[in-house]
Amino acid sequence: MNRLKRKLLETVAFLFLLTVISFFLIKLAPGDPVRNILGAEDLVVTQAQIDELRKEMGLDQPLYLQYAHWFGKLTQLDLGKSITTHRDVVTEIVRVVPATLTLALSSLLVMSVIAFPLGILSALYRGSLVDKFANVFSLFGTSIPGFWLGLILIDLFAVRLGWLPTMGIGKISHLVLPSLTLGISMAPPYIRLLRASLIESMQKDYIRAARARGIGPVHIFFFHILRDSLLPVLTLFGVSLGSLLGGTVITEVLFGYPGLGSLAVTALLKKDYAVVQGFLLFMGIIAFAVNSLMDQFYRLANPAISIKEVEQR
Amino acid sequence: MKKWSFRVTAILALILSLSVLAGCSGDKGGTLKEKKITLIYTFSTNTLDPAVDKRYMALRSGILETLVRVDNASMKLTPWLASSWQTTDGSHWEFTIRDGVKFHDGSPLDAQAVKISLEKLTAANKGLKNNLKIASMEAQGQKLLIVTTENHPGLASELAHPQTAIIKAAAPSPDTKPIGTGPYMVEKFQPNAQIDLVKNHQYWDGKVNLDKVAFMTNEDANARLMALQSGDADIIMKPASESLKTISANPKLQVDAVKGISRVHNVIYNCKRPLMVDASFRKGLDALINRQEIVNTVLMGQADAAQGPFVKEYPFAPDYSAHAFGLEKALEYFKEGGYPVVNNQVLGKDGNHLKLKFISYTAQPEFPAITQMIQDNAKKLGIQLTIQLVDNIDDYLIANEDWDLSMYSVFAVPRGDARYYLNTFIAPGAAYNYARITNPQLGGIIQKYNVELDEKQRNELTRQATEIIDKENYISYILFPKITSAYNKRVTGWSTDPLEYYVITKNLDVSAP
Repeated sequence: MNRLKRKLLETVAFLFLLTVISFFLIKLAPGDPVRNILGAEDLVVTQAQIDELRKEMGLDQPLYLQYAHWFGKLTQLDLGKSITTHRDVVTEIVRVVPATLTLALSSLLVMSVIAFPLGILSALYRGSLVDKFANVFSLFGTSIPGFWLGLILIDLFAVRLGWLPTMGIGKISHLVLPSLTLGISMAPPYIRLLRASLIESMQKDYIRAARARGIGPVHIFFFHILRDSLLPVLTLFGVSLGSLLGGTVITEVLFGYPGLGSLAVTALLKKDYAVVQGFLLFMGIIAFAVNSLMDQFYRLANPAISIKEVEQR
Repeated sequence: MKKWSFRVTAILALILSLSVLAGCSGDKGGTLKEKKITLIYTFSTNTLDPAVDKRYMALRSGILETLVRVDNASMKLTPWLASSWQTTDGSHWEFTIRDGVKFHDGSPLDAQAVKISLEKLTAANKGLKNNLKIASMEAQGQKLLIVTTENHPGLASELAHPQTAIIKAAAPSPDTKPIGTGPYMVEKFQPNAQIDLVKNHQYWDGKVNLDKVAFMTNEDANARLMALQSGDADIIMKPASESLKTISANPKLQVDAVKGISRVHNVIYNCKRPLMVDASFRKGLDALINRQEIVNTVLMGQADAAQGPFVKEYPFAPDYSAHAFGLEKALEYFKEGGYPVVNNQVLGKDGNHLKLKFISYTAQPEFPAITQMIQDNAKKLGIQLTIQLVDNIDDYLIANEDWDLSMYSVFAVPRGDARYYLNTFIAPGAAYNYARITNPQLGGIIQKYNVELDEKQRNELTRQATEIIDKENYISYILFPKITSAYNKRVTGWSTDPLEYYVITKNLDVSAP
C-alpha cells in the first residue's frame, strides 16, 4: 500500500512538472494562434483585431498567470477547448485513442509474431541458417526507415498484388500494412535481445538441474528458460507500447490513419495550446500506466522480485 | 536436445501460420450496380462545421453551398444559393434566395434559414464576423436584407468564402453530419481520414450522377499516387511533379493540370533594411530571378511565370512590365542605385562586400530549390545571400527585423477580387505587410478601393495599386503554380478546380466498365 502511495505521489509530482515545463516551452515559441483563429490565410485581418483577440484570450498576460489559469481549470478536470474545433480537449483525445490503441496492439502483435519465433529459433539453432536469416533481418529492419518500408509494402501488397488497401481506417484490412510497417521496424532489437537472453538462461545451473531431474524439454523451455529471459524483453516492450500510444506520425500520415500522433502534430502547428497540453498530460498518464503494468508483469514473470521485497521489509 | 528443439519449433511454426492467415483476411468489393468513386485530397480536417473548419471540407466535398460562387471560366462572382443580389450604397444589400432549394432533410431553404445560418457562423467565427461586417439582417420570404456596419462593396465576394456555406442551423451534429443543400450528404465522417458521401436525391440543380463518393485525405504524395495506381483511388489531388510522367505513361490514368489563378510564389523585400530601402537595389535582385528556368526545372513546367500578383486574365490585372532576367540587367540596376561594381562584383556604397539574409521555409516543397537558384545567381555578382530556413514563416517575418528578403507564397485572389491581397499584404499598417510598405499613395488607393462600389472603378484602382507595387518592386512575383490532379479514365465529368473549392460536383460520373 505504501509503495502504491509513494508511486502515486511521484506520478502527481511528475505530471505537475511536465505540465509546467511543457506549458512554458510551448508558449515561449514565437507566434500564437490568433492569426489562425481569425483566418488570416484568406480573410482580411487588421493588427487591431489581432490585438483585441489576443487580449480576449488572455494571451497578453504574463506566462505564469496564463499557467495559473490553465492549472486552475485542470483542478476542476477541465482541460479547455480546442481552438480549431471548439470541442473539449478530452473529447478530442478520447476520439483518437481507440484507433491509436488498435494500431499499437496490432503492431506489437506483428512484432511478436516476427521477433519471438526468430529470436527463439536463432537461440536454439545458433550459427544455423535461421540464425543467419535473423541476423540479416535485424540488420535490414534496423537500417530501413519506417516510411520507406511502408512505401515498399504498399507497392508490393496494394499496387502489385492488390491484396490490401493502400490506406484508410475502419476495416481489419486497413490495419495490416501499417501494423506490418511498425511491427517489422520494431522487431530487430527484440530478436537480438531475446536471442542473447535465451542463450544466457539456457546455460544456467538450474536448467541443467531440471534436465537432470527428467523434466520435459518443452516444459523447461516455456516455464523456465523463456520465463527467465522475458524480463529484459518486457522492459523493451513497455518502452515500445508507450511510444506507440504516443502516436506514430509518419506511419499515420502515410496510411491516412488518424491517431494521436497526427492530432498532436496538427495541434502543435496550429498552436492549439489546450490540445497540446492535454496530449502531454495524457502521455504522462500513459507512461505511468505502462510502467505500472510492466511492474506487475515483472512480478508475474519472476515471483522472486516480490519475495525479495517482502524479505527486505 | 534435438527432440525438444523440434517440438518448440513446431509450436512456433503453428503460431506463425495462424497469424499470417489471420492477417490476410482482407476484404475488397462493393455492390456492382452502385456508382461510386474515391477521391484522395491533400489535407484533412477533424470537423465539418463550416464555422470552424478552415479546410473547407464540407464545401469541397459537395455537402454545402454558398450564396455566391466564383466562376472559374469567367473568373467572376456568380449566383449560387442566391439567385441575385443588389446594393445601392454598399451598406444596404438585398439577396434573393433561390426558389426550390431544399436542405438534405427536405426542409426548404428560405431567407430565414440563411439568416440563422449566417448568425450562427458570425457568432462562432470572429474572422468572418470582421469581414462580413453585418450590422443587421432581415428575412422576408426569399429576400434577405443585410445592413453592414460600414460601406462594404466587397460583401458579395465575402459571401463566396467557403466558410459562409449555408447550413441547417438546427442540425444536431454540424461537426460530423452537417445538413446542407449540396449534391451529396454525409453518410459517415471519420475525422482526419474520410468522408463517406451519398447522393442527395432531391438536389435542386439537376441529376447527381454518382451514388456514393469516398472523400479521403492523405498528405503524402507517394501514398496518393500508389492509391491511384492500385485502383483504391479514382482521383488524386496534387500528384508530385516528378510522378506526372509515370502517371501519363499508364493508359488507364490521366493527368489534369489547370492554370493557377490564385496562389503566387514571391520574394518579399524587407523595405526597412538599409539596402532594401532602395528600389534600384530591389530591382537588381529581381533581375537575378530566372523565372522561366525555375518553372521549367524546379516546377517541371507545372507553373506559369509571374510578373505580378494577379494572373493577366483577371480584369483588374494591369499590363505588367517585363521582369527580364540577366546578370547584365541586374548590374544596370545596381549601378543606377550608385553601388560600385568592380570586376562584375557588386559592392556596398561603403565598398564592402554585400551580405544579405534570405529567409525560406519547407512547407512549399519547391522553395529550397528556388532559393538556391537565386542564391547562385547573386553569388555570380558577389552578393552573398545567407539562407535561413524557418518553421513558421509568418511568425518569423512578423517578429523579426533582421532579414532582408524572404520567400513567400500567398493566396492572392481567394474570391475573385483583390480586396484580400491589397488589405492584408500591401496596405500600410496591414497585418501581413511583411515588406513594411509605407507608400502613402498606395495606402490612399487602397482606401478608395475599399469604399468604391463601381466594379470598373475598383478594377482600375487595383491596377493602379499593382502598377505602383510593380514600379517600386516591393515584391518580386515568381510564379503561379498550376493545380494538378490525376484520375482514372473511367471517371467522367471531372475537372480540376483552380481554386480547389468546388471539388466534388454533381457532374462527376463513372463510365460503364
